[in-house]
Amino acid sequence: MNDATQSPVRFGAGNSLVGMVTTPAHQAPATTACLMFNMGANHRVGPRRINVKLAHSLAARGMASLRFDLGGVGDSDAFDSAHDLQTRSVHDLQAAMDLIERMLGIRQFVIVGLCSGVEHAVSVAAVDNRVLALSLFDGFAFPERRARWERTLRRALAAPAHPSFPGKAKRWLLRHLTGNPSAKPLPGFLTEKQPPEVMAAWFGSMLNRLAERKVALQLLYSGSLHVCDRDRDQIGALAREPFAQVMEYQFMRNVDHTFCTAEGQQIYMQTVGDWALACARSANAERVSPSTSASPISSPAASPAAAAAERPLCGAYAPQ
Amino acid sequence: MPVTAHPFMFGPASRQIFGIFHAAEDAQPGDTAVLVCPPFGQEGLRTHRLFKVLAERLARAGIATLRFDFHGSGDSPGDETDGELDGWRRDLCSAHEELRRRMPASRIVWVGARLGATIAVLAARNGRCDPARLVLWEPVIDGRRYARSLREQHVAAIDTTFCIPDLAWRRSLAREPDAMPEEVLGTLLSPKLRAQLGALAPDSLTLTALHDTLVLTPAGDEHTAQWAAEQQSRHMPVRLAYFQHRLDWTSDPYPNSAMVPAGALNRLQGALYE
Repeated sequence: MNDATQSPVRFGAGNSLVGMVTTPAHQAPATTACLMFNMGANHRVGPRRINVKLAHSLAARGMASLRFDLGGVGDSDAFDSAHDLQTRSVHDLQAAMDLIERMLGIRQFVIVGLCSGVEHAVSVAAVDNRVLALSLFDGFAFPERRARWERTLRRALAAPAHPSFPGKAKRWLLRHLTGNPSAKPLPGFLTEKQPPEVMAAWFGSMLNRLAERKVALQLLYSGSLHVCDRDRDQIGALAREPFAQVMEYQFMRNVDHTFCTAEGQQIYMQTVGDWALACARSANAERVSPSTSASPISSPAASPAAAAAERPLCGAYAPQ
Repeated sequence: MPVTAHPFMFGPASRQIFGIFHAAEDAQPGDTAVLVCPPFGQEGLRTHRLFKVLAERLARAGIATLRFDFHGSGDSPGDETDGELDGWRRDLCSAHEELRRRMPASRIVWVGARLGATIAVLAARNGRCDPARLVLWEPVIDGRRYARSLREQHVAAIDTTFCIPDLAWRRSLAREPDAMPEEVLGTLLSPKLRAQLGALAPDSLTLTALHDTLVLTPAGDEHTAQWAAEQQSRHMPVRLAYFQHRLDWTSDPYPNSAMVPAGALNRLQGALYE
């Protein structure tokens, strides 16, 4: 890879966090950097190494990035045991921004959140003005009755033709009817469930706040959730909220939740890469305008604990 | 909590490799150091945490350990389409030299899993490195069988992950079961790697007498048992041990799928002393 320079780093409280800074090899990096971190228990390279591929692609186009492991995940040590997962994640993401600020002098960030990472990304954006854009993939989804019925119907129609469906049906029955402990998801932040209305209220209010602050929002949903999307089906009633009028929304039928195919990876990287670079250009244009250049870019707006107190306890994605 | 794991880049400037060195925590480290040779593609991602925990355990026991990612995999630079066995064999030797530089007086044990174990056999054969022992955990001894298995897992993953899966993957597997895949489980295979896997057969994978070898494989894996027996018949110092574990090599790290099975940790740690 000749377009990028890789620098492994240890940082954060107690030097407990491990990451990799990727910078353009032949040019000064853009004034906005990208942060990537874990999706569930995958380490910092992301599922199918998607974070590395995106980092290389961004570096070739002039944007630096840091991918890293949250405390206790991947190679990072669990240094902080005094706070809950969400508060720790906010601290870790802020430490990542601090590092890039020290290393590269960059004070504006696009954060890429995948699945469970969406909640962490939203939480840190709510308390740190350095975040100017969030790309959120397969995070919270609240499809309404029509979308859920259509998904069920389409699956039922497809079932007879597909040899994998008997196995899926068997697993579903085991999980829901028999109480077989081996078929039950273990408790944890990936699977613990909160009432959808609680999650929707938190998600909607947070994104509205971010939209008011002009934080750019990109919501991406994969073909793991549905086969079609008629009108921003995955956010359901939230489509009528103010943030939904300014966000970018894309349903990616040929991309799956863990980027299993090369085609899906290409679609995702192109979509996120183009959008992140556009956000950086737009922020750069605003930064030099007299009206905004006087305002501080880097000043945490509220405490992580305050943001954590308002949020639900878990991510929304459940394997289909 | 002492920080013992040090992430860094090493190797030639034209082919940098990412590694994490776990220094031995004892003031007087033991006489053994371990080099972990990770599996390919999704299997490598799946075992990342297992080998991280293993390395920490070994470091606490006084055994310095180096983990690394082959070129074009994990955190190492490079595209997947650059990946092939000859280059990876050289990467392994670079990692060995790096560990030797840090632990000059230690006997170095290579712990390889799946295709990483195969690359260890290939690298140990050329005499450039001097491992004292190879621990081969379910080595890939038949490239075509391995590729077929990965394709089957790929189809299973597609079936699981998509709301309504595309049948084309399954049809392609049924139509040409022995074809070498261009991609599996999110990893691209270069034309050279496909050719190398196609040529990889038990007969072409031979051990040497320069080191002793322990092969770990599940009971019932007759192919590996037969391969090990053939190496023994050539008077190579190799031993086969059956080993069952709960690690699913290719699944995503979801709950209900063990990421760091205690049995695997214990068995690999024990393998250093047998």
